[in-house]
Amino acid sequence: MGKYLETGKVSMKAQITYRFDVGVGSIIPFIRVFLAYALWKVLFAAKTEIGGMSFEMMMTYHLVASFLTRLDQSVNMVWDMAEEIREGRFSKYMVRPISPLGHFLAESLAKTLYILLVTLATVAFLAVVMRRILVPPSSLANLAGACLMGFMGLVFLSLLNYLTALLAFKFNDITGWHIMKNNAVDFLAGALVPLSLLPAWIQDVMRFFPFYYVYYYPASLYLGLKTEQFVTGLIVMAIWIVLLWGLSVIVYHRFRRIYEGVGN
Amino acid sequence: MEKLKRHVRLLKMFFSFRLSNRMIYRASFWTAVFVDVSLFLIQLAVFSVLFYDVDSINGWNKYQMVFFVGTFTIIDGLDMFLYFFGVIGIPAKIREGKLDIYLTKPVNTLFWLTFENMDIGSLFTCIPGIIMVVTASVMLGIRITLRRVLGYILLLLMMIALLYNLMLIIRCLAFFFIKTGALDELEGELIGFSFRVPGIVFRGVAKFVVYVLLPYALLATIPAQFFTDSLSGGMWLLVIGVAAAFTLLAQWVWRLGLKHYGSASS
Amino acid sequence: MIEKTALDSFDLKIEEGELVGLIGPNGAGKTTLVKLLCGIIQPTSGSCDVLGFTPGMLKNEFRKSFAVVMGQKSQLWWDLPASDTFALNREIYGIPNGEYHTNIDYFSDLFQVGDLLNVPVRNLSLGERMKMELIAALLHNPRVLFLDEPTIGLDAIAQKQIWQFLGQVNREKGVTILLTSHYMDDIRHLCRRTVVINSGQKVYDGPLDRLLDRFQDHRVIHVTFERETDPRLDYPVEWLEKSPYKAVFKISRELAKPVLRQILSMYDVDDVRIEEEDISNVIERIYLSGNGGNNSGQVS
Repeated sequence: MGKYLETGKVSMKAQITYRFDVGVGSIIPFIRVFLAYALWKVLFAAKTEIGGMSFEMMMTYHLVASFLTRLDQSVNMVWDMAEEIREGRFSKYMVRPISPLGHFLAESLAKTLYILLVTLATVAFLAVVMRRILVPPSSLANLAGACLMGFMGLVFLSLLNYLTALLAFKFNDITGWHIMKNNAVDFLAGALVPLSLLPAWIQDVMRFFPFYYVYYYPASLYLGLKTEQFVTGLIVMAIWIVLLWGLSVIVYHRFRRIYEGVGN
Repeated sequence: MEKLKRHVRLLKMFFSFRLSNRMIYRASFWTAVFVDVSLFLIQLAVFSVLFYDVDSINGWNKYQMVFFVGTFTIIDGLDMFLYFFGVIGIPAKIREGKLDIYLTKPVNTLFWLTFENMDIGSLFTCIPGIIMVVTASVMLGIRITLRRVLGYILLLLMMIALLYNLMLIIRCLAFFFIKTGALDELEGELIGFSFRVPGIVFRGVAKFVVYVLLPYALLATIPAQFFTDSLSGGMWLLVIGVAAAFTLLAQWVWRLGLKHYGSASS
Repeated sequence: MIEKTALDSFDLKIEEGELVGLIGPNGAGKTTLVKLLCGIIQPTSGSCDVLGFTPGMLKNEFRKSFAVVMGQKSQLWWDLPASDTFALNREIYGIPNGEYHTNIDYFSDLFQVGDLLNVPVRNLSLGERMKMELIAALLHNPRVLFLDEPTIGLDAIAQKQIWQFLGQVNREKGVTILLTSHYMDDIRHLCRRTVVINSGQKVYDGPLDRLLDRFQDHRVIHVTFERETDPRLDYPVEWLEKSPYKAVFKISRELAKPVLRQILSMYDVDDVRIEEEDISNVIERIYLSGNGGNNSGQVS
């Protein structure tokens, strides 16, 4: 366990040296919210409710969602890991008593923790500035539920990204896959538009898949919507996380055998 | 003239190289097409969801929106065909010192980096775009005149060049900073948004920001507006001015970056 | 931020047609020098002139007149055969068709890589790749060739082939060659003139023989005896090995002859072998003298 803790600590330290990157990253929620505001202001000009939400709820939704999307740092780690595999440096995991999955998760969560502090500050600032067009969390219980669901969403995304990076064992260039996955996930998880805008039957189907609970559901829960789906949501997420975990282990071990450790 | 011919020949070489490179990885070629098509579909999905029951936005009607979507699809296809993969590869070359090889060859370095990764597969993405644009014009009952078409093409080319400069400026920051991942993400937000939502939704200060300072909103909006509606003289001036300004800015940042590279590498 | 001086007060002049070796430990500034001469980096003070051009300006005319091969960085397209890179270079350098084909034939014969021209570069061995790199570099008949650690990682046979090749190219085509390495062998087999660099400063510039003469203080002598012997000499000898029938010792150069005379007269010697001191020790001595003794770091 200790080695993963160390991994986390080192990751955190590395983050701090990349001030520019972190600085720019903290602007992203601003831009997201700014763009969302411009769009929804216009869309709400003719209506008072879209997808079961008022304008204020929609803005709050986007603020919460943009906060959550910032938290996932594993998506950027895919490039580095894929490169390690391509260049034959991945063998370091094979000769050392450390699980690459454990390492990946530890690093990802450490980065998230660090980003959390910076992002929280940014979002809090935005919340104050935008207070007139936002709604507060519907209840403490719902907020707690949203946090829990959000955390599970992060774990799921980390596993998904780890699997994506593993594709580098098989494919020379995973850029295309990764980009496509990101776009698909963004859409399916409700980062671009709340899923409540989709036809009802599609929403019902999506409830059995993890993406529904990554951004859309935590944000909805915050708003006090769809609270009745909480328990099923937890179960679905838990099952998917276990599935992906198992898949990660299996895929890694299979690829390991065909891995030549070939580098430059 | 000779110089131009030489550069055209080089372009052809880069193109054929990429083609044969792609052919070696047959899977990769079709993967790219698959990815492009899926991306397009997702964009379309988002767009439909947002504007599904919206009949008009700030004066634009449904078919103008379709025309808008078609336009950004064409721009996207063309930028990926021409320079997208070349430009996004620049930061890695800077960081790994691979730029050295390019610098020692008697070819304009920026030209080479920009066009060495042309992607023929991306041209396929233009097809749905063109279909949408044509369909929308028919539904809108627009008179297709030579002037309209030429103006549209001219604006398309200007916007493709503008996007190039915007992308280049961001990549050049790799000369100065070790990690620029967040910047790529930010750019992704801006481009993604300007491809999903027409710039006409913006007003006032916001409009100034996305039309002049970070002119991503111009990209698909302006050509679409010209063709389906009209572009005022002032707007033309603005567009030309912004495009020119960012061309100069990009060249300046690139030169600055090279200078920095030339003093800091080991 | 730490500022590091990579090269300091470096004066170097190379005439056309020379074959110069630049040797020094890692981090001495060899690669920096090559990059300066190629125009990749610009000097913070002083000037740089290659074939009448200022490299830093990166003029196309200049870039057509030289070639650089960096041991660590390849100019070959990884997934394609070397012949494709050659074709690209033909276009980039504007090599006339006839000259292009003549050169390819000439070089592929010389290196015996004719059947490897159409093999993807990633499937070639390190030695084969380096040969392709050299061919790619020389196709356009550059007047100057810079090589940065070209033999790194190569086996002895490939190394030898490259030395022969470079020597031949220098002789027959008059290409000026500047070669950097931290392997003494490269320099020894190839260069008439050696420049030693250490910590960014030039420490020696001249013929290699003179360098070795000047800094090779000692000889190592191996003696085998006809019978069991325990030799004792009147000279300050450093014994490296003493066994019943064999003795190996180190003695300063001036004393080598008298010591040999004594040992031959005193004992029944079966065989004698005189060795030069290990060259890397010689170089180390130069580096140290460059820092300690001479202020300007110049050794004549």
